[in-house]
Amino acid sequence: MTPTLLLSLLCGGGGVAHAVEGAEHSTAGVQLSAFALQTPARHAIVPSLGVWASYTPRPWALTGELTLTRRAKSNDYYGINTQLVRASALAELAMGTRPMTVHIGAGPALTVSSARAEWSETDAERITRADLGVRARVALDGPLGERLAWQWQVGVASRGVYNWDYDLGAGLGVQW
Amino acid sequence: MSALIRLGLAAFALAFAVGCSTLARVNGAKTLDPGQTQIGVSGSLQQGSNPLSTGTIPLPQGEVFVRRGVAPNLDMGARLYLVGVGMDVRYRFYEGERLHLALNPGYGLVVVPFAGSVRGSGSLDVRVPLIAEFELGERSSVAGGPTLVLRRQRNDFTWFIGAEDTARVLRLDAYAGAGVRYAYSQGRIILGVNADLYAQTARHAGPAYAVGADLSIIPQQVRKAPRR
Repeated sequence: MTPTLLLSLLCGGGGVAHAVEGAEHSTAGVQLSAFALQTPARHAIVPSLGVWASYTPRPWALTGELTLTRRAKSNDYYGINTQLVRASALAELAMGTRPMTVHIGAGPALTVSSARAEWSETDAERITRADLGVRARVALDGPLGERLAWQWQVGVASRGVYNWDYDLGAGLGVQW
Repeated sequence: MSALIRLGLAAFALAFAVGCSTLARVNGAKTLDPGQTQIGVSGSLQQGSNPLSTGTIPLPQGEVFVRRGVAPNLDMGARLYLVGVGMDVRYRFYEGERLHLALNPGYGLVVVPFAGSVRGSGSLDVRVPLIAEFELGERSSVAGGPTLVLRRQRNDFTWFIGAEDTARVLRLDAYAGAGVRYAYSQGRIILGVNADLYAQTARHAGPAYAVGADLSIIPQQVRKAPRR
């Protein structure tokens, strides 16, 4: 049962779904985001670079993402340099009444982060860890001519249970 | 003291007392037809929408808004609220017989110039409401859904301890929640009442809510789109 059929049944009266179904397409591209990285005290906003690939047989879609970001902070007493790589796979609803497609999805995410802390000229320590979590996003994508595609998205992802990162980004890619 | 000065002072005092950015919803999921315009006003009480209203009494917020249909299933809106502005795009991605679904991403900006130790304050936010609207009848509908608001808050301080020093405090406010709005239309007039409830996931600052009402007019007669 497709989501649009399900919605039609829910709305009653033999409702007619106007969502465009069956418009199968795939997109892949590069994305720049503002990444809100949760730190012990607050969220630090840092830029991130990512790639995405989506297979979209409306009203469903499968999307894979790979995101990289880095945060460096130092003062008179200490310095911290953190790199973070996140891979996620999302199962999504994909619907639209125009060539634009709305993606609403969720799935697992694996985040590998490596942080190097320095607190004197000689003392330093690097900690690397991997955290499983969940990832959810709402995205819009659409064509730019025949071959190019754009994407805009807002997402949230967890590292473990207590760390929640947010991201807001836009990307450019190809479609076929 | 002239009435104009008194009015100006009252507006100035109100600007300091309001909820800065707004958390109230004024939209359903049904988009305007291309070329249609909607103009409205809204008033609400909000708590927890900014540090001033955290843990105190609800603060008032008022706004005027305008929307314009730009293409089938796509319209744009602008909001001017006390000490802030916002813009959004609404895309109806599902249209059923009585059920409509829309994504309504938007941005909001607040700038509050202060005198004294706080030199300035402001925020930039992105809002992503997912809206489902169900038509209860010819004239009424109920709409609601989840919303994520990410807000970058800025506060600039100046103080004197021997010498002048300044500091800037930045933080992220993240509101995740949901709301509901009931709308009743009579001809070209639309009356709505709304309630929103959010958790502040980034700062764990307790719940935030907004309760309000809006009144708007669509000068061009609403056209019932033919069903396919």
